Amino acid sequence: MKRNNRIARRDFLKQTIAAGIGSIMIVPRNVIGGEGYVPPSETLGGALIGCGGRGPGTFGEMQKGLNVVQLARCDVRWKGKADNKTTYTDFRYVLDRKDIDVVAIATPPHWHALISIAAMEAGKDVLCEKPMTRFIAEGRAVAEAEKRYGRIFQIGTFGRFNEAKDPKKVMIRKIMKSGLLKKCEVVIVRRGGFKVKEWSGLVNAKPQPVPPNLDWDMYVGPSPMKPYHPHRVGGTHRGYWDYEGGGLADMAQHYLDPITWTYGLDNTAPVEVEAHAPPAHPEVCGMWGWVELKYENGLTLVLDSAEWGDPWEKKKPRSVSIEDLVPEDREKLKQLPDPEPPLTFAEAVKQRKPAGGNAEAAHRTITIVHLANIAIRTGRKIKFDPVKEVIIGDEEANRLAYQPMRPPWHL
Amino acid sequence: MAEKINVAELVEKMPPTDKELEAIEQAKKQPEGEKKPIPQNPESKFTGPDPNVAAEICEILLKAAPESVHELISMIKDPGSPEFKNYKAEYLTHILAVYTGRAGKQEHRKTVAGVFASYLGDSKTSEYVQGFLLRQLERIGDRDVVAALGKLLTNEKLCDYAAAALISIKDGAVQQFKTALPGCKGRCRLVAIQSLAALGDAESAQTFRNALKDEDMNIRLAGAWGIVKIADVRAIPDLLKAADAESHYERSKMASLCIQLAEDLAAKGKKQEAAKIFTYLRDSRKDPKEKYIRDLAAKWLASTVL
Repeated sequence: MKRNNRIARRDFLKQTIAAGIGSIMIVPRNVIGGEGYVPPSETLGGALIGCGGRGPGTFGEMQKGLNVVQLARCDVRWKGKADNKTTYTDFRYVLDRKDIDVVAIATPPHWHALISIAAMEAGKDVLCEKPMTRFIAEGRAVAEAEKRYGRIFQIGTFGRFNEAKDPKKVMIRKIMKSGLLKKCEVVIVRRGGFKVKEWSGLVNAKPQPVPPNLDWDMYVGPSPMKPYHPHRVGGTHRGYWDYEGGGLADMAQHYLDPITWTYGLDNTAPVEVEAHAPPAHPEVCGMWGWVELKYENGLTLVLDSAEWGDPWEKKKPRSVSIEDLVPEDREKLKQLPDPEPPLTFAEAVKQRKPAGGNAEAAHRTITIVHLANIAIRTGRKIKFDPVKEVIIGDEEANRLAYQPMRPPWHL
Repeated sequence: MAEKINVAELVEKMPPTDKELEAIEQAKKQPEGEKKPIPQNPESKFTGPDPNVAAEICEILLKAAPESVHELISMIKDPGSPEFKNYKAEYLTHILAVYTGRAGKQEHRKTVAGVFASYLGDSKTSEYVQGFLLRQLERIGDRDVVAALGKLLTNEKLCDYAAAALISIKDGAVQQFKTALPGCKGRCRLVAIQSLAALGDAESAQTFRNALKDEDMNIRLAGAWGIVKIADVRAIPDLLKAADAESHYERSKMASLCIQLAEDLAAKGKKQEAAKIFTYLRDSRKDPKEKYIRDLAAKWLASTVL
C-alpha cells in the first residue's frame, strides 16, 4: 500500500484523540475477529513461571508474533517477597487468574509436565522450555492434555523450523514419510556437545540449611524430597536425576528436534536401545560414552558424548536421498505435496492449530533421551514398544519410565 | 556358607571423584617435602568405573551375600556423622542393586532386596540410610518386601519414599496402604489416599468419596483422582459438586478429572453416565474463560449417539 493511500497510525491516533474516542479500550479476546481468530492487535495476558536462567528468554520467545503483556511472574525463590498480585511462589495462584492466556514455563524440568498440564486444563496456551519432561509417562500425559483441551503447546527449541526451510531436508522428510523407501539404511550420529561432565552432580555433598527466600518443598515438588544443597538449584540442578537427566537431557532435545522432523520420527520411538557407559550413580547424572537407538524401520540414531570411553564406530553416517528409491517411485514422490511448514507458537495460537513443536512431537523427541538415560541407568540393552510406550520384559527399566510422584502431585 | 571377603577393599575400587583425581595429579607435580595432603571426600563429581570391573565386583559381593551386603550398608553413614563419606559405599550398593536386575539374577535380587528391607523400621538405622535403601527398593523390590515398606507408611519423614516404592512394586501394595490408613495423620494420610488412588483400588471407593469433602484441597483432589481411576459411577454427583470449586485451579483440575472419567466411562460403553458429566460441564461452565470446557462437552454430546 502506498504511503498516501493509508491512514498512518500516528494520524489516526491524532484524529481519534481529537474526536474524544482515543481512550484505551480492552476488548475481550474473541470479540474482535470472531471465534477462534486472534487478531495481531489483541493483547494477551502472559505469565512466566520459573524466572531464573532461561526464564526471560523463554518469555521473549512466547512474545514473538504476539502482543503479550506480562501480568504475572512466579518463582520459588521469592518466598516472603511475592505479593500474590504480580509475583508469586506458587504457580497454582497464577493459573487461578482468568486474565492469563499464555504461560511460559522455565522451571527445572521436573515441573514442566505438571505445570503444562495444569495450565492447559485451566485454558492457557503453553510455551515450555526444553527438555519437555523428566520421564516418559509425563510426556504422554502432556500430549493427552493438549489434545483434550485443544490448547497450544510449543516446546522451547526451534530447530525444526529451520529444517522446514531447507529444500534438502524437506526432500528427506518427503522420502521418509512417503512409505516408498524399501530399505532404510539411515545412520545418524550426533557426536559431542552434550556437556556430560559439565552437568554432573556432586557426590559427598553435605546437606545445608535452606535459604530463607527459597520454598524448598515447592522447588522439590513431585520429585523425591532430598536435603537441600545449593548445587541442586540454579542451573546445576541438571546434574541430578531428581530434576533433569544430565547434559544429555539438557542438550539432546535441541539436537534431536530437527532430526525427528526431517526423518519423520514425530509419531514413533526407537525399539532397541543400547548404551556404552559406566554404571550410573543413584543420585547424580554422570559419564556415558555413546547410546545406539534403532527404529523399527531400520534407522539407526547414535548419540556419542565424546567424553567417555571409545567412540561409536560401527557404521558410517548415512542419510537418504531420492537415489535410494527405485525409478518409478521417484516419479511418485514428485507427485506428492511438500510437507506443511510447521506453525510457530504465534501462528498456532492465532489459527488454533497444533504448533510445530507440539506436545506429541516434543514428547516423541524427548522419549529418545529418556530411553537413552534408562539404558545408561540400567546398564542393559532395552526394547521399547513405541505404541504402548512400555519397555518390554524389563520391570526395573519400566519403573524409570513410569516414576511415582511425591504427593500431592500426580499426572 | 558365604565366602568371607574384604568389602572395604571392594568399595575402595570405586574410582576417585574428579577433584580427588585432580589433587592426585597436582601432588605428583609437587616436589617431595612440599606435598600438600590430598583432600578427603571433597564435594565433587564422580567418575565411573569400567562396567566390566563393576560387574566383577558385584559377582564377588553376591557370592558372599548376604553378609557382604550388610557390611556394605554399614559403611553408609548419616550426613551428620563425623564418618560421613558415603560416595563409594552408596555408589557400590546402587550398582549391586541394579546389577541384580539383570536377567538370570532373580535369586540374587531377592537376597539383596531382603537385606535392604531388613533395615526398614530399625531404630538403630538412621532415617537417611533407610531413605537410601527405600529408593533402591523402588527400583528392585518385589512382593517379598512390601510388609517391611508398609511399616513406614505412618512415618512422616519416610512415608513418601515407602509409598513410591510400593507403587512401583504394585503387587501386594494396596493392602499395606489400607492397613496403614487408619493410623495415618497429616502428610501420611495424603500419601496413603493418593497412593490408593494411584493403584486404582476399587475397594477404597468410600475412602475416595469421603475425601471429596475434606477441608484439604490436596485430599479432595486425591479422592477425585481415585474415583476416576476406579471409574466409580456412584460418585458422579459428588464429583460434579466438587467440580464447582471456587478456585479456578481446583475447579479446572476437578473438571479435568470429570472429563477423564466421562471419557473412560464412554470407552467402557457407559455413555449415559458419561453424558451426565458432559451435560453438567456444558451447562455449568458459563464464564467466557471456561468456554473451552463448554465447547468440549458440547462437542462430545453432539457427536455421540446415546
